[in-house]
Amino acid sequence: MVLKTDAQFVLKEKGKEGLKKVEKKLEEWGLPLHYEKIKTMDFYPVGMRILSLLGIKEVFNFDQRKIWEMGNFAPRVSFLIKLFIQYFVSVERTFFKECPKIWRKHWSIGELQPIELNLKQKYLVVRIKDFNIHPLYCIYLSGYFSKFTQMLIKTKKVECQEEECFFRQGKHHQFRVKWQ
Amino acid sequence: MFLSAGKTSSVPSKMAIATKKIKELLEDLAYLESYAQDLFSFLPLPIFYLSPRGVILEANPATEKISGLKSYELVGESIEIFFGKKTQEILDLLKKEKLIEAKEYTFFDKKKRPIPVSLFAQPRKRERETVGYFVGIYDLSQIKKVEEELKKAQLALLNMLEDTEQARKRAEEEKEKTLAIISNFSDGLLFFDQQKRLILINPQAQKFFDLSAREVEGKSLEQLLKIEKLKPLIELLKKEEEVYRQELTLRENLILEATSLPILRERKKIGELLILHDVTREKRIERMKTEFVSIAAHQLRTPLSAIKWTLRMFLDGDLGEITEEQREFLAKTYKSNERMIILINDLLNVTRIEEGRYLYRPVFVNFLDLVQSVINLFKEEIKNKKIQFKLIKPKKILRVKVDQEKMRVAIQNLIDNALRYTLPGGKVTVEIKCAKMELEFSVKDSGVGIPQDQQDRVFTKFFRGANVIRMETEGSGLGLFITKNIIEAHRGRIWFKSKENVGSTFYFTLPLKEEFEEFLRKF
Repeated sequence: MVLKTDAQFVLKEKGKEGLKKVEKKLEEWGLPLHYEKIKTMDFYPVGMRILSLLGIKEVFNFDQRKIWEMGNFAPRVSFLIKLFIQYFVSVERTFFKECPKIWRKHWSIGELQPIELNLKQKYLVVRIKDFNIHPLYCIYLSGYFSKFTQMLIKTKKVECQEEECFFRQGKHHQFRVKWQ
Repeated sequence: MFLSAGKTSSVPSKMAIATKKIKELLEDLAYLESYAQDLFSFLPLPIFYLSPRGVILEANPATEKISGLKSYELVGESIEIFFGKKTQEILDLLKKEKLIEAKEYTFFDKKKRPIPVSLFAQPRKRERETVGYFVGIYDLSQIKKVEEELKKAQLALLNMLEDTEQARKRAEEEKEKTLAIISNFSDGLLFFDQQKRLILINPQAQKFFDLSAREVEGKSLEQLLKIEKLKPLIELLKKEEEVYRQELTLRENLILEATSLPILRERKKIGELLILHDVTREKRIERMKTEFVSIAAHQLRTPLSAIKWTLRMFLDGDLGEITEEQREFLAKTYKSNERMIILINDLLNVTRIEEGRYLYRPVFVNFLDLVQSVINLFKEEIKNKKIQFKLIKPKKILRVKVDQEKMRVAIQNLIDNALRYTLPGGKVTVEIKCAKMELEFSVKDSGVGIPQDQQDRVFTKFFRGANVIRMETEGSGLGLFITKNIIEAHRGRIWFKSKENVGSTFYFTLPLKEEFEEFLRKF
């Protein structure tokens, strides 16, 4: 499913030609992937997801900011998010109950753990366990959580920080999202 | 083909069936997604989905179009970007109402341009809990524009109606004023429309004819003709196309002067106004004056005649020898007496004309002979003043039916004037021309002419040009008045052309009648 949002981001930024370039790059890497043929509800190997991200970065020479933008863009066009919209009744319920479900719907590996939600002090902490695929994806997730929180909380200014990272001697990935 | 782990079997395992079922469901879901997406995209109305907190979670292409923002730019944003300060009101309303239909709001696009919209919203519920809202908006810009135009048109119409009402009131006031003027006007007024129907008769006119407006208003000339009291007036109107100062004697003590005026509106004739002016008093005074002049003239003429004959006898020596000096004085006295007699005769003629007693006894005469006989009277004067006199005669013998005595007066007056006001050595030409049905007589002189500003009074009584008064004191100023009356009594026309210090030409025409025609008429 996330492959679809990757494709939509490339289409937005670079158009169809850009998407073809990415597909060509992936083919060179021995991964013949046609984004248009990807089915929203199908599961694909997790390696394919990170290769798509790397391929896009490689082809367009995207910096970390752009990767963050890709993550930020994904919830906006994600069909899965649309499916979960119905659960966006209360922030608490969505955070503690539905978010882990959303993760499981996205991924067959890893786990999302809601750690803390403080509406008064305007922050939340979320942990990703057993999902150590690439440091680039940490940046992507940072963007993703920012937008997701924005959609959940209804706030304009959101800041997300990975306060613990597996690739930086952490046990897992832990993100703190603050808003105003 | 799905196989259960560890053993081969032709019967699919439960796992394989479940996997297949999930796959089918996922396919259905994917189809459903694409279906929903297509439907959502196809809708021409801007529709977006809101979280219960008012965050835009989805927006269709029509929303992108109206807002100028891409769907991915909208998702995650508060609807504040669309509705600004009204957002909370909308959210409160969404929480309170089950359904919002056609509520008007102002929508702001990317450039913050206000767009009037009609808002529709419906909550989406799951297990009795609102999980979001479908919101649709309808762009009212065009409708508002039309509405605005309609309002303007309505306002303009109202203004026009107000103006019309004011104009109507003004017209009403004007009408009342006019009616008041008409009602209180001392002259009688009758207004006839284009079809010659009597539309209005004022109280004065009603008084003149001793009838009421109800009896006559709205009636045509033919219908009015049947009313005995109106008969003289209607006959006059039927006879004449235009009436100008026509006298109308209704009774012994009521003489009216009728004048008709066309009434125009935007250069188009809408009717005719007949003004009846009571001239009874003026006529009475005029008659008294005429009678006085007539009596006085008669009374004067007798002694003047006696003086004339006495002087004549003195001059002829019938009463004995007189000295040359006495003769000279007596001759001057005789001449003055003659002038007095002429003046008295002129005055008598005028009174006769005015009293309608200037009787005509028309007979057929050779007009040239008549003119020649008048010219003969002036031979000596022509000679004395060394006037270059010329008579241009027609080839044809013209016999006209005229009152010989009166016509002689008319011709004499014109030739006398020409000679009198032409300086010695000047030119006077008399010409008689023959047209098809009339003869034209003219006297052209190289005299002093008539000043331009006095020309319109030439044929009035006692008129004498300012320039001629300076050069000669003689002359009563009645000659042309009498001449005009004589010519017009013969159904002729009289006119002149004149330029001061250049000369004048007086013309008149007389209708030619065949003697034979006249002869036949007698039988």
